[in-house]
Amino acid sequence: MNYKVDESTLMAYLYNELGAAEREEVERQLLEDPQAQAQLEEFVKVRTLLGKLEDEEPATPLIMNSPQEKTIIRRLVPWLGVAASVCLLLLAGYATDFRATSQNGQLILGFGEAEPKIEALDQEQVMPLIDQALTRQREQYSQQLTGLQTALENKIVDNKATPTEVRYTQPAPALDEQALQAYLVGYQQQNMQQMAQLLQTNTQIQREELQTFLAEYHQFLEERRLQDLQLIEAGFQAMQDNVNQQKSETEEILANIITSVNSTNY
Amino acid sequence: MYTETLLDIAMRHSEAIILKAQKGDNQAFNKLVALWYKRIYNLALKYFSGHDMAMEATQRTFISVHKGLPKLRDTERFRSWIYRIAVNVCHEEERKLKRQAISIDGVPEKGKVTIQLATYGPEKSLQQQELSSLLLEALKEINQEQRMVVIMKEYEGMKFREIAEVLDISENTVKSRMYYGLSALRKILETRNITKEVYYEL
Repeated sequence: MNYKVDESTLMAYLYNELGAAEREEVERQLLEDPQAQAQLEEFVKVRTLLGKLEDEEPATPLIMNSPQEKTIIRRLVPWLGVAASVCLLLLAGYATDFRATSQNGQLILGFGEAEPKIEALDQEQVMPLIDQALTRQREQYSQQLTGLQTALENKIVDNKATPTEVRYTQPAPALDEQALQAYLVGYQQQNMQQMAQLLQTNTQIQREELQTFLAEYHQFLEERRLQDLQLIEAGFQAMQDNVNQQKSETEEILANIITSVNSTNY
Repeated sequence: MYTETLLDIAMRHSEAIILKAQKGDNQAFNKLVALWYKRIYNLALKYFSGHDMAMEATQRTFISVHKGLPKLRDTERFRSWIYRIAVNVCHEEERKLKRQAISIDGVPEKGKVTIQLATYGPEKSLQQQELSSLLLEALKEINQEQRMVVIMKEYEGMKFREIAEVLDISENTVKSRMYYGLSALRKILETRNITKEVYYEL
């Protein structure tokens, strides 16, 4: 008999859905039909490859808390995460009194009350201060010189009034270039001291500002760390609850299976 | 190849849960979803070869299940019933995709609708990931009716009789679709050189 294995029978044989007698018959026919045998082998290979495609665990949970609402919570899950992050940021910003201000074209970020700004002085700002100090000194010096000149003129007048013999018997006044030079050196030293003091004060202010900023930043990081720890702890707790719930559900399912198996046995 | 797991056994013995869910017990319905979620998701994932579409189809399937469950008379047929819903949803989504792919002048444009292939976690080796992606692409290329039969047979472990019941066609038609589906897959896999020994050894 020239029997050919048809498509349906070949499929039923391939997936082991034939009775014993039919199976034997197909096997006998396959021995006589190398073409069908080769095709069967090809199908087995394809099945082997298809078997490499494993099931995937769904990446996102499908939650249907209240089916009446027909709410597609799954779609909201990623947005809930974003919303929670935004809320957390706002809360953190509120707690730390976060500020973002714009000044002179610069974006300034900071925490707490805006303190009066103590700006670092640059060269252009320092120069007028030095000029002012020098002008003041010059005025004082000028006043003193004027006083000296007046005194000198008075002296000359006195001298003129004094008889010549008396005038030449007295020693000459001690106003000379050397004294004036010493006086100027003294002023220069005083100016330098003032400048040094000014720079020192400026450096001190900047150092204090930096220390304050570092202290505040450290405090901010510490608070952030504590908040993160709390979040992690809450996450673990939620995970634990979830696992417990799944455990109880699995136990219930197993109990159902055991009950079903027992009832089948009896 | 399909292997029965503890979850599958639980699914077969979930009549009590189905009855409760039918009476409006939301907790029971959630359990039913938990039992069937992975199966329906994987059916849709292999049908669409993409996570987003698979999630969409899964979501829609469970909404339909919730709507139709109180009307289901024979709870023993729940398995074939839920698969029928999933299959219909998948076909509807496929039709939607094709409509979107048709350009203004009415000529379908290949690749206009791009489906992002499923991505895999680090637990899979690169070769396994590559093979999985290639197999999903190969499945996507065959005729949608043959594809569904192949998926139900190979990955859902259904008998030909069950598939026939789900699709409401004769058993012989199912076997025929399986035959031509496997033949088409063999050609595609050969063309792409996926029949290399290296893949068999994975």
